[in-house]
This record gives sequence, structure tokens and C-alpha cells, in this order.
Amino acid sequence: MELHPKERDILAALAATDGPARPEELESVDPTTARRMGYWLSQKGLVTLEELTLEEARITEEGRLAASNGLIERRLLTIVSESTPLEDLFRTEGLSREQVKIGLGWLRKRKWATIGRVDDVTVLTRTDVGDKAADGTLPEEEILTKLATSPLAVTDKERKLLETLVHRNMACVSERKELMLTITDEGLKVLESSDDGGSVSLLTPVMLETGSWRNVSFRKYDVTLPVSPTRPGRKHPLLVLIDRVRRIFLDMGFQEARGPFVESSFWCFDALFQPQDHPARELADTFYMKEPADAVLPKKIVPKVRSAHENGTAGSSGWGYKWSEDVSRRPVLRTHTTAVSARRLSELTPPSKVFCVDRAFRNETLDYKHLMEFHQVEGIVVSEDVTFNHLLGYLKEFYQRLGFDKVRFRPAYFPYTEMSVEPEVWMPSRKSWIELGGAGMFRPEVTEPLGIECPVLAWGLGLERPAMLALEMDDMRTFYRNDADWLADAPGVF
Amino acid sequence: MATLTFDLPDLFKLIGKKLPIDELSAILAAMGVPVEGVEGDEIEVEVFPNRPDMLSVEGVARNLRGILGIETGLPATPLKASDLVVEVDPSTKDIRPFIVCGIARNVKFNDPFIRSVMQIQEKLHATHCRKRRKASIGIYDLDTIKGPIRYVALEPGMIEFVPLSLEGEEEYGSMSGREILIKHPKGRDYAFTLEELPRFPILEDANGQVLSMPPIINSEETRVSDGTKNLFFDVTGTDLKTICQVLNIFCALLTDRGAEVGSVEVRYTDAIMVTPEVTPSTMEVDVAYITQLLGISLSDKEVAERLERMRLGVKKKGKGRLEVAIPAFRTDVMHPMDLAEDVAIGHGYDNFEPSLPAVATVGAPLPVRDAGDVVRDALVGHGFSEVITFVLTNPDRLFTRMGEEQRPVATIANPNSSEFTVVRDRLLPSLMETLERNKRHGYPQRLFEVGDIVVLDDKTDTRTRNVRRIGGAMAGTDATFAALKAVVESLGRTLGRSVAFEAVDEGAFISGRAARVLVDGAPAGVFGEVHPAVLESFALEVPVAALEFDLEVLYNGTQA
Repeated sequence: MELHPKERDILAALAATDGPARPEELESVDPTTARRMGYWLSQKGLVTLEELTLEEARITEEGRLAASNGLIERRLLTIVSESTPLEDLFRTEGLSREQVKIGLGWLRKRKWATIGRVDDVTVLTRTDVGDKAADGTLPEEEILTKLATSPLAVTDKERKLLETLVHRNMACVSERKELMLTITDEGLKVLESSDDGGSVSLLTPVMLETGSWRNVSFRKYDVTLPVSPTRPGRKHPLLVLIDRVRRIFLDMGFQEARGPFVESSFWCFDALFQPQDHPARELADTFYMKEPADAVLPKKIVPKVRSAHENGTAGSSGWGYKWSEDVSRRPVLRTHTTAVSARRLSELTPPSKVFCVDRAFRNETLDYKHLMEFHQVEGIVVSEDVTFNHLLGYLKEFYQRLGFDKVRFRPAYFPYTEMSVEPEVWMPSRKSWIELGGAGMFRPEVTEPLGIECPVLAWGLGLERPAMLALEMDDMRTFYRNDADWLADAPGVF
Repeated sequence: MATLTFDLPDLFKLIGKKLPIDELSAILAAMGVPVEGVEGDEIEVEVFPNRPDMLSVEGVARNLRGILGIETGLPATPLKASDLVVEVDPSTKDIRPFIVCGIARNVKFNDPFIRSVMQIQEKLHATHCRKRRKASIGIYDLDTIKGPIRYVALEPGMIEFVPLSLEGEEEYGSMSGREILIKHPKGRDYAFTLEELPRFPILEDANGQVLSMPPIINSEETRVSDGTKNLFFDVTGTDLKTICQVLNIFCALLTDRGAEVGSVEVRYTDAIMVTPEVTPSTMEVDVAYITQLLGISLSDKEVAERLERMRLGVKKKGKGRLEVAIPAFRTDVMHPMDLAEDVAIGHGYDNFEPSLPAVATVGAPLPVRDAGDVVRDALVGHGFSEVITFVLTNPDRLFTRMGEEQRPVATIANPNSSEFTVVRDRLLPSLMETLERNKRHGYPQRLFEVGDIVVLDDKTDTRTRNVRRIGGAMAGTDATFAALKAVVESLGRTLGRSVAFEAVDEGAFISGRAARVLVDGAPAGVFGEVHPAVLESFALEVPVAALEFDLEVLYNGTQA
């Protein structure tokens, strides 16, 4: 087993100690590291950990005074000689009457002096024991001196003496939890077999210059240990999906198109045969512009669109209402990228395939599943030979290339397509079919005014939803929040 | 989106067959009526706006019978003439000019039937009738009415009747037309349809009893109850075609429930109509047109069979040509293409075999998107993280917090929140806001966006122009002018452009620490150290250096 140099230090220190040791007791290892590494070593079975409850004695204020000035009985002893009047003792400086009384008790208890009466005066006379004691040190005093420097662990040997000090209010004893480390047999074995000094952790330029790398062995790392994370520069996950979508349509031979965010109602709705009282055009669904206040319409196309709405075109009966050019001039934030397709249709010559991936806007209140701006991929195929079957073919191909294996189709309704269809993909993770957008063949009322006389396959598919499903997110706003951690960690693969 | 809730046992009774829920759901979805949910005996479905005839359990059942092959072809629409007359007073001409009516006898109400009658009114009013403005339905107990009925528009003060109380309400007293708009809940809801008109329309019978004040409320007197046997109903509105459709949709429901629908003579000053007019319209169509459009091969018979499953009538008109009869309650068939869709749904979308056509075209990306990709790769290489921000913003963020004067920008007339009221004409404020939001994540941070902004431009047809911009920002103690200039110079080399720099004073940057970038002499944008006042306004506590360039100028040296 390879050891980190610090681990090795700890094991070595433990091996040198007899029995369990506290982290503080280990030589050449700092206690915090020892505690942390001790835990890691115990996981490896090289060390056992034990939590002990220790009694610890600490000096009190009273004890500190006694440590520097001496015990009261000792101070009194210096005064006592032969028949020393008791009154002299009470005059000792710095001692209260109360303290002197306590000291007298101890003098007698220790048999350092005897008390008698001479001429009606109470006197004290030092004993032989007192004489001897005057030159010596009491065990209590020794402990008191030690306590003055640092707290002491309570051992059985000193327990009695400490109790006296505690009784005299010079010390107190409290309990403390302490981690004890003991090296295991396995630990000893590993320590023995570990390489103790020849290995180095860093390859330095000096080693390379001097060639000294030839003489060292490199410490082996534990490659499973976690490292601190890095924050890369990377592309936004939603744009990674958009890149992928662009790639798919370019691969399938489509030309890319773009159009303005601020669009006339004409291109957004009227050219797409959406009647002017259609609910999708209401203020509650569409953002209208205050600035700019109106748009310029394509003069040649306007009359054709008007008649498509009013009376129909190419064998259609139309909506049968009075179409207003003013309404058509009102600029909106385009509600779908289909506006781009409508513009392109008025310009292109079949056969043609066009796509556009860009933003669209809806009058929605922002929440976890609604965005007021979002991305769509729009596509049209314009050719004499295309059929509804081909529309389903393109949709299926697109979603399969995107990674959704199972695709199915459901009837739908859009004012500008007939055969309208909603593609649905199977999400194995959710065990359900997910509806992802709309498609269809443009109605002749749309294509003929724009000068197109062949079938047009069209689709407008939302991108945030499949991206959200693929990344297993539950809040669409996450894409636009750009949280640094999310940007760094979200998968960028679709 | 209109949803409809109804009773499953009632549906099974109407189609004459019981189906497992899963099978029913699949069939309904394939028919274009996706199921939203099933709870006990209740099912909720979505009905698309082109099929208001399916806004009732009867309508759904009618189509299901066709799809299931229980009853195909044109649904029967028996009609008995009645002697009831409705006279249309010319005073309604500028108010709510059109009315059509009908009666029904032997109505056998039960709970699901009554519920359906209520629901179809509510759903039609909300959708096809455009919130009752375009059309509205009134239904009355025929036995409380004495003909002829008069449709007339009167000054609101001249109108006086007891309006129908709603469920749970106490009966009202007599009110004037104006009072109803103020006091009655329906009056308040739909006041917008009448309040600006000088006269309000009413229906009254030969006794002068008011039947209703369309499109607001009926009178208490003519209330329809469980025990009602015979009905009179009207549809008034501003569009004759729409009200005829609505009347036919309602009559079809009554017929399906076994009631005997009868016609009424509606006398306008210049014309007499007998309504409902239930005769189907017809449309001739080539089978080849349909099969070519769909890309499937079906015989004349197979196409006819699929149309009949969709409850259309079909007559053969020589080889390869069909005459299709369209029930009067269908509102969506405007063009032979609409018949093709019915064939497709009758055939079943699941039964198509999707394929790709051989259309030879060459794919081509937009040059500006390609340019964007080069820049994105380069900036990612410099350790910048790509972000995507909303183009909708507000003047506070766009100007005030950036320390800049307000500029004219594309502005929304009906914003739904003060957060999003204008379209951005700069990228940088969005990036500053992103930094603000990421404050807790520590530094350094580097981010960029390649995205569109919108500028006002009178020379275009939309009077605006989308411009592709690059925005970038670095935040942290290393975010200096020199560090960012190194990135900019590297970007210039990557794009193969010679870039020059000149000092520029811009509000958002520290004076003397911002530069304009010139690409072949054309200004491509600015970069520099962001002014501490701006940092403060975005609550940032570290230096930020930022750039904003016009992608096309940077890439091409000119704007395309």
C-alpha cells in the first residue's frame, strides 16, 4: 500500500509511542492533520480510533495565588519559632483573619507547630517536623507548580493530592473527550514495508536540468482521491443543441435563413392566413410594439393576401371578412419563426429547402415552464414532388438524428397548414410521449399569394423543451440564468 | 385551447359501444381529439379551433361512430318546418345585425344532456364566437313564448326585464338594459360587447315579454329547466356565416339527442330566411389530387371510404372524381386540401410510411452564423463561458445602471411585467446582470454571448434591424484593460483581421481605460475597464473588463 508522506509520519509517530496516543502527543505531526489523517488511516484499517473521556485538572485563581506566594501554612511557618505569640501570626501581611485561622488548622494538621499558653498568652512553637518542612517541598506544592503552567490529566497516583487542592479551592477537575490513535498490526506492517524517504512528490525543473530524476522514485498517487473542481470555458448547453440542429439541417441540404425579431403583423400572421380576429393575435398572446409604431408592407403581395382572407384564393372560400391593411402594419415581436419562412417563400424559386433556428416571443409570464422568448427550428421544403408522407419523413429523420428513436404523429390544427401534425417523441426516462411542436403543409391560401404554386412542407419545433428533457431539468429558466456552476457542470451532449 | 369534459358512460351510450380507456384515448388522439386526462367516469379532451362541431360529447360521439365504422357518411339532419316567425327590426342593423333561429320539440333532458347544452354554449362563446362578440346563443322554453317574436334594438333605458339569475343566486328584480351591464355578473363580464352602442338588442314575443338581451342574458320568464319539453333558440351576431355555423352545430347536438328540430322563418326587411339551413354544401375533388398530396396510393373507393368515416357524404362523379357533401355544421372545409386532411385522418396518421423525397438542394449556413462559431470557439479557448440571455429587458438595466443616457429603442406596447419592456440594443447589460447573479460563485469569472440586438432603422420595412453582436466580460482581480486587450488582439489574429485601437470615452467605462476597435478602419465596437459606478449599480465588488463588438464588422471589416 502506498502512503502519503504525512500518513507515513503519523504511523511512524504512533509506532514510537507505547499504546494509544493523543494527536497532540505525536512528534513532528500537527494535531489537526493528525486528526484528519487519523480518520482516513482508520478507514484503511491501519489505525484504530478510540474516543476517551479524560479528567483534567486546572488551577484556579486561589491556586495561582498560592503557587506564587506559597501555601498559607508555609507562610505562617516562617513566622513561627519558639513560643511565638498567636497575635503575631494575625498580623501577617496580606492574610485575612479568616485565612490565618485556616492556616493554623493546617499547621496543626501537619504537626508543624504546637500551641500552648505562656503567661496567659497563646503561643506557637515549631516542631521538628516543622523544621524539616521549612526546607522541603510538599507533593501538593509540586502539583500546584505544574498546574500553574498547564492543565494536568488526572492520574490515580495524584488523585488524592488533587482532591485536597480541589477541596481547598485551588484546583478544579473537568471531563474532556479525546481522540486516541493506536497503530494496528496492519499499520505496523505497512509502515515497515513503505518506502521512507527516497520517493518524491514533485518533478521539478531542477531535477530535469541536473538529471537527478534518474535517482528518485516518484511517490505514487491515490488516483481515486477527489480533487477540487475546475471551471472551464465552454459553450452553453442549449447552444450546443442548437449547433447540433443546424448541423442536421445543413447535412440534409437546407439553406439557413434569418429574419427580424420585430416583424410586421403581415408577415407574422396575415401572410400565414391567420384571420385578423384570431385569438393568437390578441394582446394576451402577442407582444405588440409601441416603437416602431408601424411597418412597411410588400405592395405587390398585399392585395393577394387581402383577397385570400376575404374571398379565398385558388379554389378556397377564404375567411369571408373585411381585411384591414392597418391591422396588418402593426409590428409585433414575432410569435414564431414561421414569419421567416413566409418571407423566404415570397423570394425563393422551387425546389428549395430552407431552415432557421432563432428566437420567437410570446406574451407569457416567466415561470418554470413558460418563457416569453424561446428558440424554434423552422423548416420548409418547397418542391413540386413533395407529399405529406415526406413531411412525416423529414420530421422522423430530424428527431432520429437528434437521438429520439421513436417518433409518432398526431393530427393538429394551425390556421396556415392543412394536414397539420404534431410530432411526438418517446422519452424512455419519462416513459411517455412528448409533443414537441407543429408541422404541416402550407395551405394554398398561404402559398399562392406568395407566388408559390407547389406544395410546401413546413414545421416549427420548439428547442427548449427537448433540451430540458434531455438534460433532465425541471425549470426552463435555468437556460437563461447562466448559473456559473450549472454552466460548468451541465452535460453538453445531446 | 378549448378543453371539454364529459361523462364516459354517456359517451359510450351515444356511440352505442363500450371501449377500454386506453383504446378510446388512442382512437381519440388519432382523430385529432387528444385526451388530457381521465378521472373516474370523467374524461377531458382537447378540441382544436377548426372543429367547433366537436365541442360537445355529441359531436365527439358523432365522429367516433364514423371512425369506428358504426355509422359512416353524412349524419342525418331531419328538419320540420314550424309556423314560428321572427321579425327583424331595422334598428338592429348597426347594432348586432344578424339573427338566425330554430326550435326543438320533444326534448328529453337528462343530466348529461343539460350539462352538454350548457357546456357547448360556454365553449362556443369563448372560441368560435370570439367571446360572444361575433356570435352568441340564447335558449328558451318555447312554451312560455307567443309568436311572432321581434328582434329589435332599443335605447338601454327603454329595456326593462327580470334577467335570469345564475345558479346559487337569488332571483333578480326588474332591471333596465344599462343596469344589467352594471349589476348582473354576466352583464359585467360582457359589457364590452354593448356598452359603447346607442341601442341594445332584445328579443321580445307577441305579448311584449322580453326573451333576452343578446349577447348578455336571457329573461327569468323564459328559463329552461329539467322539465322543459320544447325549445326556442336564437343565434345573433355580427357575422352571418358564423351565426349560421353556430346554429347548425347546436341543432346537430339536439338531433343526436333525439329532439325534433324545426325551422323558423326569420323576416328581415329586405329578405326572408328559413333557418336553420341544414343542406350540406358540396365540393368536387379529384382522387389523384388527394393521393398525390398525401403521398399514398389509395383507390377511389378507399378515398371515399375514408371520407365517409369522417362523416362526409360521397358521390362518385366519373372515374377518379368525387362529389363530397359537407355537413352544414363543419366550419373548416374551405378548400379541397381540407378534404385531403380528412382522408389522412380517416386513413390514420399511424398508417403512413414516412419517407424522404429526392429533392436535390445544396445546404448552406448563414455566413454570420459561421462567423459566430469562429468567435465562440476562440473565446471558449480563452476560458470564457458562453451564456444565453433574454433580448427583452428594461430601460433601467439597459441605460440607468450602465450609466448611460436613454436612447430610443424598440419598445413593447403591452408588456406583461416591468422587467421586460424593451428590446435590447446592447449585449453588455445582459452580461453585467449575469455577473451580478453569479456573485456568490467566486472569481475569476469570464463569460461571453454571441447574440442579436435590435436597433431602430427607418430604412428597413420593419423599421428595425437585427444586429449580431459579441459581448464578453471578465471579472476578478485579473480583469484589466491589458488582459482583455490581449484577448481582443488574439481574436483579431484568429479572424485574420488587422485591428487598430483608439481611445474612447464611454459612460460605462473608466475614462482613459476604454478603446474603440477599428477593423480595416471600420469601428467594430469598444472594450475597457467597467466604471466603478456601473459595478456598484450591479452590486459587483470586483473589477470587470468588458467588450462589445459588431460581429459582422469584426469578421468582414464592414457590415453586410
